[in-house]
Amino acid sequence: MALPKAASLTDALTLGASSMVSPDEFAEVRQAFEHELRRTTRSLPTGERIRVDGYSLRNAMSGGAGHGGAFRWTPWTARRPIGIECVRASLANPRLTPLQASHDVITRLVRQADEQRGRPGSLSEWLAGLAVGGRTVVQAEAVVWATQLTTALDWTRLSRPIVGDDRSVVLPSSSQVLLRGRIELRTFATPARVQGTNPRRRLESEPSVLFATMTGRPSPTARTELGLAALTVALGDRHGEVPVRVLGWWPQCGRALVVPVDLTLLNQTCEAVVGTVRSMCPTIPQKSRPSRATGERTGRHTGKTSLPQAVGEVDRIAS
Amino acid sequence: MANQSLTEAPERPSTGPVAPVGADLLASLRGDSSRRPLVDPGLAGGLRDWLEDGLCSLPLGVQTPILVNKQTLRDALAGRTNQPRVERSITDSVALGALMDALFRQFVTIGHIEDPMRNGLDALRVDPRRSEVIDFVRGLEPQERADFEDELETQSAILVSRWPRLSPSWLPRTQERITVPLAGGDVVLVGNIDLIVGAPSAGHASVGLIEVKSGRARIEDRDDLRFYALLETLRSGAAPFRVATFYTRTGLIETEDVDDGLLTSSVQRVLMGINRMVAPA
Repeated sequence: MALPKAASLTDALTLGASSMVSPDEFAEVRQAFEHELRRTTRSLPTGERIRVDGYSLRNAMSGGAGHGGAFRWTPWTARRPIGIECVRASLANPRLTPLQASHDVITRLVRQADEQRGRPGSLSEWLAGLAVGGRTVVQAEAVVWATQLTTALDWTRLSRPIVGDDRSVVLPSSSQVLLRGRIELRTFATPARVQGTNPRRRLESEPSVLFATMTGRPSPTARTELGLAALTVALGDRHGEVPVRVLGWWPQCGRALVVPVDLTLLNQTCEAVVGTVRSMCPTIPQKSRPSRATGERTGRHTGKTSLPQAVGEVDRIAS
Repeated sequence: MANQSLTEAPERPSTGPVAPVGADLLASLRGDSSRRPLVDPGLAGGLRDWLEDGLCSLPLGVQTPILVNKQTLRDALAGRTNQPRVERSITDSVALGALMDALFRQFVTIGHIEDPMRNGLDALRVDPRRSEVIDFVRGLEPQERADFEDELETQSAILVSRWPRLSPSWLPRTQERITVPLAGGDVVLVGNIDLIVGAPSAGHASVGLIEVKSGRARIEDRDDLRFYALLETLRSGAAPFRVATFYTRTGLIETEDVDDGLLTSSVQRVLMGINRMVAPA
């Protein structure tokens, strides 16, 4: 069950390579990034948190304000979390199709709400409140999403795939910024030939690679959005291991973008994140020399959340 | 030449059980599986090159991106491009079409329809873009609404009587959106296909596209499907083996095999349509 493009996409994703950024090099990137973030968020009122994800990054970089409304569940925001569960279920049981899996996932979520285990505003609560007609739209959207991901790759060739490996990162030095990386799949590049049978050595020779499903068609900011996924994985790794590449996949148009993760990408992504954060912070007179990303664009405060809501959902990173 | 065939159901669903339900419909969707063409790995690239070459010589102007969907293409080819843009108002047939699309999606996804009007409106309610349809139905006079509901129930009954429950192994996915950017994104071909079936394959063509129509059969319906066959080929790299239109008004299904001739004629039609869209008034 694979698209004609699946073989070449899988090749492009898993092609053997060694990491282009060493942990030491990344430590320097990280240090500079944290310093810049700390400086940028000084004007942010205590208790407010800025969330930077692919969406806010795109809006800030393209000068758009986005719709800026509060998040709400719709069939289009719900299809991904349900779709990810479907793909996981299909991988665990290859006889299970996305349509069957979606039924199971939605039934489980609704039962969760019925047993009053769903948080107010949660996906399960929202689903339980929908009539059959509305719930079916959600299921149908999830089926499309899951089928697109399932058929995009040759899963038999993936090494230890992790589906839905999203990352939320709060840096201790800039705890008012939450970085969110959306990652549909994390797997490992084909290992280079390694002498000996030491399993630790073998694992070290398998740098991780990321696969992200995107919406619509590639935009000029796509490379940086994919860079954010790589950045969050690297920031969240205890050893500062950096993924070797990110592959963005636009199923609606059948396009893919393979982005090698090198120092240039990481630096550009860090600058874009700082620029996005700056566009969301209250303006204060800048005395020091602005960074390259400084003040390029302004946007609305679309990514702010208050601290208490976000705490508990994020991985705090040891510095 | 593409193979075309028609399969017609009784005008209205019979009261007794039909066994097996929809067997003829399935057969017409499947076609003769032994005759499905091999996927030509170079075809999609060739079609894309043809389109790109054709667009190179067109004055695309500054009003980009130009969104090309089945309706804008039809309008352009019918010479309606340069007329003042009139917002598409909701009519009985538009509302009926929206509700039948939602009910078809529901039937394919969960296999049953409880109350056509309620289920259909509930489905539209979760999509803010469909609020006009809901308002339209709400605003109908009692007799108009009764007639409307009667037609919806009739078409829904035809749908249920004609369509079998599709095997999940066919990977049915509904209202899948396809967007194909061309000319560096200045032109975007867009389609929203009611139903796509078939596990994608690199061997023989294995995907079928189905559109659902609640109105009368029109000659343009076939052009719409050929356009969608082109979009799917450009997107996935493999042409679908067959396209079909199902008419919920009659239960009739019209199918057409996809071959190179169909796809190249669609490329020419798209280029001609875009040419008329960008031509000075």
